Amino acid sequence: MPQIRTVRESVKRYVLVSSAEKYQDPRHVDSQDLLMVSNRQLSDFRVGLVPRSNLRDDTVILSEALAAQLKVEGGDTVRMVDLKGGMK
Amino acid sequence: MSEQQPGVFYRGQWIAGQGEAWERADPVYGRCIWRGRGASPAQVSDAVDVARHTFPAWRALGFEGRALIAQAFAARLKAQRESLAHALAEETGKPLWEAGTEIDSMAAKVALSMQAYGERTGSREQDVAAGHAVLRHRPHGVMAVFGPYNFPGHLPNGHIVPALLAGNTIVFKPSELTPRFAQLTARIWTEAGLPAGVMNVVQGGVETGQALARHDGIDGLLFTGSSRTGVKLHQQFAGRPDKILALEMGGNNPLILAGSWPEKAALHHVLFSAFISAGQRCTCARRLLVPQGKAGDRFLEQLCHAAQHLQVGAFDASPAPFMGSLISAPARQQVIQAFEHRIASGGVCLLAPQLTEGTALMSPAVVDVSSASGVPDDEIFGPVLQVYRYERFEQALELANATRFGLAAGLLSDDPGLYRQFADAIRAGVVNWNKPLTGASSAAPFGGVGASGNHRPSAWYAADYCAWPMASLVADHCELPATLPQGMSL
Repeated sequence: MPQIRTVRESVKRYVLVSSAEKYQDPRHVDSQDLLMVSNRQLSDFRVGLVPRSNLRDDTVILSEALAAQLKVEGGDTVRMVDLKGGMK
Repeated sequence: MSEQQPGVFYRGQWIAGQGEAWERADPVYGRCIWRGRGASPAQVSDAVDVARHTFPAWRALGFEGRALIAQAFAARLKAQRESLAHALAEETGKPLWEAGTEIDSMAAKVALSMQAYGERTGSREQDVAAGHAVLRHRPHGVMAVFGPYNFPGHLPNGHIVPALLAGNTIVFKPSELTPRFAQLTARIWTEAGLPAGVMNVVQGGVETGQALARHDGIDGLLFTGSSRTGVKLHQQFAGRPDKILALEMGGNNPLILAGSWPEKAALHHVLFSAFISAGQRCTCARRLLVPQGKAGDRFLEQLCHAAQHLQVGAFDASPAPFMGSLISAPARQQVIQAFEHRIASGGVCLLAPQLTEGTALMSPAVVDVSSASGVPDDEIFGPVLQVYRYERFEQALELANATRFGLAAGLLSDDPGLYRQFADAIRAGVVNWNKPLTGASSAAPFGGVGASGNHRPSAWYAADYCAWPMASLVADHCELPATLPQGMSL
């Protein structure tokens, strides 16, 4: 599927789930500061948005609520992609 | 507190325990401060699985990312110092001022551990004769941490912080005598942004502890506690070179008074060494070695007088006491039994303890065991000081080393020659001259020899047991050597 941008430009990240305030989903984040995040289950595929500031080199920090929506927990991997492209 | 408290913390959530039920009352007022059920063996297993599953993500976060969270933890400890100290003092019986210093030590541990990580482990590169050498350190995986009751904050923290910084995940089993402070510690970590599943807590007693120690999913166990339990763990880990075991146990610590000494300063150092924390520090002086003769007699007289007047009281008493209570009434009973056993074996009571009924309060006791027979080489974990009178300094050195333990030892003397002799002969991990035995610096390695540990010193050296070294020789591409080894042709 290399022709699909969201797959071609997506990166894999380990999930860390935090309930600390600063990682909670901010309501007023500019859309260009958001990344698309999805779980890796074909049978129950889910997508959400996460602030770019939660992204690290090899991990992404998700709020408890978002982790629950995506049905992932700490140590799982997710796929991340920039809404506009250019992750890689 | 009448409501049931949760006994298991994993996936970032507290849930009800399904193991043994118990209740913790504070040791002076007898008020219930924690009631609940511990983690069942199945829940312990779940906690280890969660820690295992989270490990690669936590490791991947990198040292800087982990250090930021640990720094946030330290900042929160400082911000909540007063309320945390109060909770800690109430649960352990130690005076508020002392509990405050324990919170300070916990916070200070973060910067020290970050520094030690870089200095003791971390990574470096250099060009050597054989090529380019790279040294890196890798976390073990899931570490079980067993905490003691005397410093329910500072001591487990001394394992948890370096283990987390190195990239390990944790399953922490606190003492069943201090469940509430462990709950608070987990809360502070969560507020600091520690991701779910990185540090998990299983409350409980023997059943929970055994389930954790036996679990095949742990890569190591970091223990601070009694020698009896430590030896059992050591037996259990026999034949398991794949698991790292760090044991910090007690001592039967000698403090020698020799030659001449400034009276008041020596008195202060002996009182502090023997009775701080109601004698519930592993570095407390248990044996005081005093020369025979008039100067020694006078010192002991003054010591007993001053010990008798040490203020003993509730953690929140005003004015503040020097000593709080022991951790529990049964613990006090054991200490009193040990004291009475010394008297029955021919020891002479120099100062009898005063007990406050219905509490775990106990005032200092001093017993001269010079002519007692069969005094066991055990740690009396309370405010009981045993005195030995000696004739010659060499005899004092022999007495000091006549223990299976080797945690702390000290000399109080104006004579630097005696100190040289002492430092040469003594066998202990913490050896002080003209300083109290307690209050070891976190910037130095901490641990003992003999039955006091298994040669895995903590504090500054905790970094060593939290990571394994990976030594590499590297080159950008394979290169054929100028000459082939004999017997090889290509």
